[in-house]
Amino acid sequence: MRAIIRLVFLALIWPLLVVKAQGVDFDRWYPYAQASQYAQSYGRILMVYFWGEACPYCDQMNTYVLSDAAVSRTLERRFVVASVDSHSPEGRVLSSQMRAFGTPSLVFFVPQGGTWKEVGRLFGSRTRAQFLKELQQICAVVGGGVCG
Amino acid sequence: MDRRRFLKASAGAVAGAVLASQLTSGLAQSALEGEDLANLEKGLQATLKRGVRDLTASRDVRLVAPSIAESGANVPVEIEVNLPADQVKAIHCFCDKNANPLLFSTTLAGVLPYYATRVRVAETAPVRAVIETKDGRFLMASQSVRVTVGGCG
Amino acid sequence: MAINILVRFNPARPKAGEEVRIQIVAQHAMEPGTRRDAGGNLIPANYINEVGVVLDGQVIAQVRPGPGTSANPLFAFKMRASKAGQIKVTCKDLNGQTGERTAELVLA
Repeated sequence: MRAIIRLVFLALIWPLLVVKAQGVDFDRWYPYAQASQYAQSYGRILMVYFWGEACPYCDQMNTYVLSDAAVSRTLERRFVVASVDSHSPEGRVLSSQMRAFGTPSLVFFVPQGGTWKEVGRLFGSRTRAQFLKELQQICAVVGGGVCG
Repeated sequence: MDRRRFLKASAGAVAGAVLASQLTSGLAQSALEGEDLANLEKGLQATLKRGVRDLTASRDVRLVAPSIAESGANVPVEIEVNLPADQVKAIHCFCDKNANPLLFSTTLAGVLPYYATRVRVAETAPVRAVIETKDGRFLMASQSVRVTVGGCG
Repeated sequence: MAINILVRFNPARPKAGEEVRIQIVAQHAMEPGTRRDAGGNLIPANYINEVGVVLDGQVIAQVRPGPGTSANPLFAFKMRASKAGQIKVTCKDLNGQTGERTAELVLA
């Protein structure tokens, strides 16, 4: 009896597991290497988010702006987010490479002929409405799809 | 090291806003910075089954909150009511721009009509102290809290 | 693990009839449910949503804090210190975790 229940349960969640394995969840963030790979293979705008543990403006972004429904929808549709701790060894290298000093910093790239083209950068926290507008502007400059 | 913050992007605007609020402080009707009455209404209805219309601005309600907060994560709020303790049933507090506008509700039964706490303010918006009296009135005091935008160096 | 609560009176020993401020601090992250972690995942909401203050067995104040109350929340009240007594503070969060602290109010 228990085995049958288990089988039925597996049958029910199987489609969910398949979807999870095939598609990438663009509502969450990834380490830089993984995010840049996703940006290339899925033709998305790479948003490199430099944050710092003790910076209250990053907390402000994490709690109110990056979790806002409209902002999340826009990011999920066209972007892939690389989450970078600016104080980690990798974060230090990346922030000097991308000249992103201070947190929160957001640098946007699109893959272009085997290299990356910068399409925008932002420094400092912002309100939900302003950030949404800026994302849409960057998206519109890149083109190739719906930016709403 | 990250504690050293800079780019007070709004510093100039703040000075302007403070001056403007001093000039207009006599006008009860002037809109507060970051006001979002539609969202406030949502919170009032959900919590009190009342709306903005049912609130009366009152000088008997004293709301102390900073006009500028460097971090919206920790904004001290102090509310004192100039009414006899047995006339005050509850103290509610709302913020116009928070996704959930209700910050807290407290019912008093034997303490003085006073409450202090620290709240989260999502972005520049008015904080509202709403006093529910025993006889069913809703008295309000408002104060706009400007949340600094900026970054860390 | 129980929620740790601190209670302090100001002044520490009020005179009879004097106003005393009861300062309560709970050690709690007050996760609002809208914060994204380093992996971009939403941290589930878990905040204290019930606080009770009892003086000698009688409820004198109750708070329903929400996601809009800061981490390590402060809850402060004022009362007239008419007699010595015992203050008991209880709280409960969304996960069902609780905390309790009693403090003796002593008059000068």
